[in-house]
Amino acid sequence: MLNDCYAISGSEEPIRQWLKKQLSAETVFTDRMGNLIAHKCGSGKKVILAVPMDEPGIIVTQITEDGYLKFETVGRFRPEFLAFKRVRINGIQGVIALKAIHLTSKEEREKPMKENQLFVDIGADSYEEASRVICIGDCGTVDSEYRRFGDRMLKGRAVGSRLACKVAAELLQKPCSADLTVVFSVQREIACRGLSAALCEFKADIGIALDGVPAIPGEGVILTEHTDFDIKNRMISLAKQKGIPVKSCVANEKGQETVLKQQGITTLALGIPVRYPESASQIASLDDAEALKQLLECYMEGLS
Amino acid sequence: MNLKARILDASQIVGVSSFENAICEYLYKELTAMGIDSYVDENGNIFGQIACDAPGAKTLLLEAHIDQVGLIVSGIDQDGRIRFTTIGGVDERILCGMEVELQTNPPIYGVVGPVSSEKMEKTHKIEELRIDIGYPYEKVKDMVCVGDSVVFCNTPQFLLGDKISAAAMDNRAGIAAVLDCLQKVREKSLPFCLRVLFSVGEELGLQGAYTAAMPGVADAAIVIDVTHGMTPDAKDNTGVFPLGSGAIICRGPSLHDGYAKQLISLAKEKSIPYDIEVASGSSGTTAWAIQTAGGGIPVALVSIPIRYMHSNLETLSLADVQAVSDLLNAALTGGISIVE
Repeated sequence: MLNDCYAISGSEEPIRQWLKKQLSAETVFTDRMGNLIAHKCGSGKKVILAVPMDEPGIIVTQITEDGYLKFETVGRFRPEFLAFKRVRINGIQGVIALKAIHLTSKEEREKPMKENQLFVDIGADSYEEASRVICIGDCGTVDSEYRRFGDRMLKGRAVGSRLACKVAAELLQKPCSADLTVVFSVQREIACRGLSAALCEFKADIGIALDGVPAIPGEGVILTEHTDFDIKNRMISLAKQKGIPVKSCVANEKGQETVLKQQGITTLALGIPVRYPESASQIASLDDAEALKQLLECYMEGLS
Repeated sequence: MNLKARILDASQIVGVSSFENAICEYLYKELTAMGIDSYVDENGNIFGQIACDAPGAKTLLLEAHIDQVGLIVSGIDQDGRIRFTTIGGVDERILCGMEVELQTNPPIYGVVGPVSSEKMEKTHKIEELRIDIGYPYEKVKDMVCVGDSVVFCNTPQFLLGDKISAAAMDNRAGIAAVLDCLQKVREKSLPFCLRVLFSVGEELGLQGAYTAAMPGVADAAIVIDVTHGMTPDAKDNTGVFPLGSGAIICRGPSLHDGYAKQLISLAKEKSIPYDIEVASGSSGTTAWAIQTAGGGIPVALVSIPIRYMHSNLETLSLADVQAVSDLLNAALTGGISIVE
């Protein structure tokens, strides 16, 4: 159960529709922000599980006289990973590329890539031709499909967080005593805005954040330092007991766990290791996703 | 086969310089299927010949290189990631997140990225990049060998109008123009013997052309290659042509100006779109080698403009490839005369 349909922050409709069909829960609804929320009643602790369903993309800011598109990135894409990629905007195929090596100096090539030097070539010869199919403000992203390779590795756009969505959806199918609310959040890529809005509506004893995190695929479940001390120890001993690989990691960016913590909720932050995180060629291990699923299930079973 | 299908077909066959076996075999079969007498020399150059009955007929050489730029495996790290270097001129900036295929048997998929996840101060050098094929060291060392060639994964992207982006358009677009033309002229009686040469190793220093253009091979030659297409970041460069310009005919001291002028007149006469580029020194093409090879062969150069040359997204307009095919067709069927 995994799908790489487009879900650029602010335009998550395709993935929301798809996820909605997959979920088995008593209540599934979309809130005003666009978060998809699934609730399963239970007599035990109130648990909120947050997992992002969006992904980074690009947004068209200008159509040039000669028919090229200037853009800004939406969310976390590094420009060096955007150059020389196939892209798709409104179903229109394009490429992001730079002039040939023969036409550049060594100094030019050594400079770190900047977003504002990049442009999308859709093959239009003029502003008029381009503006027949593209409007300023249209969003798109790199044309990068899922690809299984190596030893149970997966390459694609946002594979870390999308695998985490799968784990969350599967957790809803498991019997447990906790009162579980899963927030498949929008706009994680732009400062976790979806989750911030969603949390106003809920109270919880425990908050769990799942996501892809920068680490080495194959290392197991990543337990980030934002996890509260007691839960962290509990997770480590659970993992040891069950033989699930787990690694503690210092998180150098603010993920959805920080939003949970700001609400004063006891927080557990778990991640799937992702190589090349700020790219559309993310790499994650299916074994790590499986480990996350097992660890999470063990933890939920132990909650009363 | 129509021209578009030919271009896509030829660009999908891999052939990094000095690893040209697959493309060599493909082209030998294509020529043979057209009924053109062909053979492959010990370097992998492919020769074809269409004879002429006219007494004292001169010989024209039609040449295009078959190889493409790529990468080559240079080592395997303890974590299983693969070190590499480039074959031909490859800009490091194309490589981050690049999907590649190692030319092992069977081929192996991988993704290129920086060895460190730190934000960079400068563009990553080749030494700072690795290919990740998703296996641990123990497996990688049995699957991959230092010296294996690597190609860019090649998924064509269809842009507006007749524009296509794909890897290896340099010089499979040229090859496609030649094949398209040969298909049309092979049944006709030509005013001279035609030799076709598809040469290897251009990206490494015109190696195939140097070794194949032997004394007596031809009285004149036409080389088909690619030149630079205009992009918004190339407005300050010269020798850059908007896509749709047509056949780009080159003039300069390393080329025979008589043939360049004949081709220009011919394009005008037949209303084939064209433009003129200048090479004050080397044209950077096999024409440079052929001019002095085998005691010297007067040579002309006709190019197809492509954007983003030497990348996975070389972009062209079909109309330009068609213009080159049409100009060749006109030239071979009596449009130019071979002078003493």
